[in-house]
Amino acid sequence: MGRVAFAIISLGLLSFPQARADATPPAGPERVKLTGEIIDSWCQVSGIMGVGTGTAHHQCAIWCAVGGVPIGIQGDDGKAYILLKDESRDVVGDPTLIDIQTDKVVVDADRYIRDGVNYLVVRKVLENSGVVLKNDKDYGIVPFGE
Amino acid sequence: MGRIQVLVAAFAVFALLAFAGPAQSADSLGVHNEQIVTLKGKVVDLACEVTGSCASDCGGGKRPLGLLTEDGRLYVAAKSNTIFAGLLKDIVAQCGKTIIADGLTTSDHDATLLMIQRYKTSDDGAWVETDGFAVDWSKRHAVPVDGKMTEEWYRNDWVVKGAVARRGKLGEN
Repeated sequence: MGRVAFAIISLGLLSFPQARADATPPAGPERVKLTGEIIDSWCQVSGIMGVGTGTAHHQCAIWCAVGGVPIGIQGDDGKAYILLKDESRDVVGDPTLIDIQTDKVVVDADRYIRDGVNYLVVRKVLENSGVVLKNDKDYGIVPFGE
Repeated sequence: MGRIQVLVAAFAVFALLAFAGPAQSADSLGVHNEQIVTLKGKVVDLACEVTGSCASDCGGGKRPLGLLTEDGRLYVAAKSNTIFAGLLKDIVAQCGKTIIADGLTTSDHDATLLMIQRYKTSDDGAWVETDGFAVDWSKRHAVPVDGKMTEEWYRNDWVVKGAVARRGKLGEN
């Protein structure tokens, strides 16, 4: 087989789309006590603002919560959890959750895992320490600096 | 070119056409572990899909939504084209229906989120840009959708103003 034909075959094989991760069966619920910061999940996971936690990002987290971006908890274990329910309330537009953006909380919750994503149904917020991460001196107010 | 080489070339062209996947047109944002995607799936209530606790109409805008693709994978439908806004106003009306979505995924902190930039409800349907939040906000506030008020909705929204007034821009109050 000539080199040209070999190259063409190789190109053809490379054109196959990458195999996506297989869907995984759901796990949970598992009762957990979790400590972490209330976050806007998009900014934290995407990194689009550079910093997605703390005082620097507090106002932006309110914007996103009001805008309907899924609210989450950045756990002290390094994982971002998506909130499905908070003390039996639906979470989108919930005034309590909007008011506690960026706060450090301890929650009693049921954790579910689906396709590698962690979800929480919060039974009770056990503690709220307010905003603990004071990073506005390092980053200013993110975004727009005002 | 010999006969075998012609056959090989024909196979390669077939492979390119058959397996290259659908055309994708989502804009890159350069976010963490970004993957540009075109997905076909059903709009679902995330809480219903994950926990079995369901509400009518996917919660009517009070619950986060997901996209359940034909291979059974569940995506968190997180972000629209409107700045600082999610997808509820765009796709909650499609609850339980199948859409084709152009967008991207981003992954970090053991989570993956989906941004949908445009969608259509059938293979030969028209693409719809995901600016539903801005359109809805402009109607509720009786201002032009393409005006400054809507463009900076996050500075003009009374719920935002109330929350920032209570806690301060840094949340320290």
